[in-house]
Amino acid sequence: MKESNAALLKSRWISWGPVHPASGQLRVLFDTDGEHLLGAKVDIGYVHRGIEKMAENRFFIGVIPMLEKICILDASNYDLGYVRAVEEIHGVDVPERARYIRVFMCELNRITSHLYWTALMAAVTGFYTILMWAINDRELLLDLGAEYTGQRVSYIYIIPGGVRQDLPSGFKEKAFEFLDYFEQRLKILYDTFFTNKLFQMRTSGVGVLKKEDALRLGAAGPTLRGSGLKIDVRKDDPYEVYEEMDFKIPTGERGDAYDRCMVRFHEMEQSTKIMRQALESMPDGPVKVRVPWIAPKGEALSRVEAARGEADFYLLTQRGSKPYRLKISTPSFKNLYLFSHISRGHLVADLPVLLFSLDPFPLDADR
Amino acid sequence: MMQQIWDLILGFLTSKYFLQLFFIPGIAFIGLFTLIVVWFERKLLARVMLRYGPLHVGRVAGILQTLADTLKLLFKEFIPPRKAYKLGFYLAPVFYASVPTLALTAIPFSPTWIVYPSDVGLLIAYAVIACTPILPIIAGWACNNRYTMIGGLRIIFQDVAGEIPLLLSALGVVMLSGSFNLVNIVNAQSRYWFILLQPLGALVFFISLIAMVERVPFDIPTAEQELVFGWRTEYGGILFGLTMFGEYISLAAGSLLFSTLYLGGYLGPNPFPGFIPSDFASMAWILLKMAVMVTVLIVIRGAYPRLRIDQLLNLGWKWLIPLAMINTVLTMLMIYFFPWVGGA
Repeated sequence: MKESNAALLKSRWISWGPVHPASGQLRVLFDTDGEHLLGAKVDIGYVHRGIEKMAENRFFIGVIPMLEKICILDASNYDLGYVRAVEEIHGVDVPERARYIRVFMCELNRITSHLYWTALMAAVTGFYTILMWAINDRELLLDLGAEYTGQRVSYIYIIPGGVRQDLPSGFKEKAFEFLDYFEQRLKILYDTFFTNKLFQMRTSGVGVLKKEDALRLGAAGPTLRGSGLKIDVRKDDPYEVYEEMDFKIPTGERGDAYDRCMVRFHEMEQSTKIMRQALESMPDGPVKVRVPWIAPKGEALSRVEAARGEADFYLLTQRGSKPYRLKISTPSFKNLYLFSHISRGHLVADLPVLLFSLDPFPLDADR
Repeated sequence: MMQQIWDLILGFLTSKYFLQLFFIPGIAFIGLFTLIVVWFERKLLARVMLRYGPLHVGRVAGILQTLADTLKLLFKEFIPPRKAYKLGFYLAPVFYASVPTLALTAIPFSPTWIVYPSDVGLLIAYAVIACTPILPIIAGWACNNRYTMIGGLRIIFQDVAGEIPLLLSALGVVMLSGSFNLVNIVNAQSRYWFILLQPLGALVFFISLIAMVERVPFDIPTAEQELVFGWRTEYGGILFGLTMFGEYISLAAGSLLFSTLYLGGYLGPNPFPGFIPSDFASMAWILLKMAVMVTVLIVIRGAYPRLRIDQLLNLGWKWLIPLAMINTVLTMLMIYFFPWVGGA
């Protein structure tokens, strides 16, 4: 049977993307025998912008808007990583209130990012209703962000020394109102999408990543935790005020696509919890301190848990107003590396599910 | 002389053949049906998805959007792929749109309003349904593209898995009514609809019907995220329009067949017997039942993701076919012990 199929279709590499309804700006090359995948590999680099090099020619503060574009869905987390490296070099102590606002914004971005992923995951399984629902709910979150920063997506609000402005009056009430609403929406999403029988059939048992493979191949973020490993920078190496927050690290058991999906869903729940706590226990006080333009000579490494996993920023400075070298290690790059491993022995129909269970963002991988 | 010609023309225009060809179930019906159902599907799905859907064209709720889209498609250029087999590429969508309309000839819209009255009407409908999958396979092969080829191959698997339970499940209806004649089948339901006597058979028929008309959750051959657009990837302009047209005609034929077999077909009370001709009332009833079926199919599209091809094959071979057989045995027992249930 297999032989005759091969004779009919021959064995050949098929390009899936970069111009394809579901691929994004990356290319998957796959080899098939009828419906069976014989092999698949990811080809990235279509949206490489050389952000690390560009950062060397800008003032410290001017790097921030550019860094947000690495992963625009998750802007605050990338800001925070870089800003913390700058602060470490200057030795600045950030006001307490700014730390809480930062945590609030980071978790808000984690939810927007995960909601966007929910929409994509629904779309690749052919479930367009959830695509629309998730995008609708994300819209409200963007409005909440705009209420504070005046921008919907690219906030540029976390700066060395704190945050730009204090929260506007009446913001807390609006935020609590949104959180009440969003918790109910999450329940509805859980009932209609994450526990949908057909969605479970599509994702469970697909793309199994075992614990030891996840460690060996260097998985990051929810993909890593989906394999049952409790690794999260927010708990392991707490930054800002995460140690004062009460939240759990959701993990999976079998390490298949469904577990990765559920980890992301539970992370959204935990993020709403963190947002609530950050708003409730936020002290009064200033939100920024002055940071000089000229940085001393030094080097700093900062780790943050972005929505897709750990992002590392290594900053090397000579005395001057611009970074000497900025090295960014992004989670999508680490996760896309897993693709050829987890796609072994699957069908062509599993291809989008496999890819999007890793939550890849090509811009994030290419930088 | 003039009077005679006039009578001849008038006689032809009011004859049943003319009306059947141009109105129900002819050109006017299929044209209007596709125009309205595409708009209705977009509008209803939009409601399910919490958005508006078509809004501007035609002033009232975008009702002329489909017409505008069709006109746009008509003015587009045909661009066949360079290595395509041109004859197959051009003809496949034309036949894909026209073959399913043949299934409408077997459907009774009233006891007498039926284009091709036959004692084996059900088998004619099935024969037409069995013909349609060949055309996507030809199209997928003729385009000479990897994605279209995989889409075409998927159709083979899907239709084999869907068609057998579709045939087997209707066997119960045939046994109860004792006839392959669709008019007899409908008349046998004058006491109660067969969906009450055959719930299992109706369920199996319904699921295999969704697979046969390739709608969510079984739109596997055109799976957009995997195969770009399956076997239709290379089609543009009105050739693409024709493939969509064929899909919606299949939907109409499938819904009509389900209504005929399980929902009592054209049967229904005539509110003003003297005022409304009984043919009209019958047509209204079967079209109403069809509309209900179409609505159900559209809502299903909003409520489920797509299955994988191997899961569909599992469903077809391991569940639907055995269930259809169980249904046949149950019907036999029912007829043996309670002979009065059937209409025969």
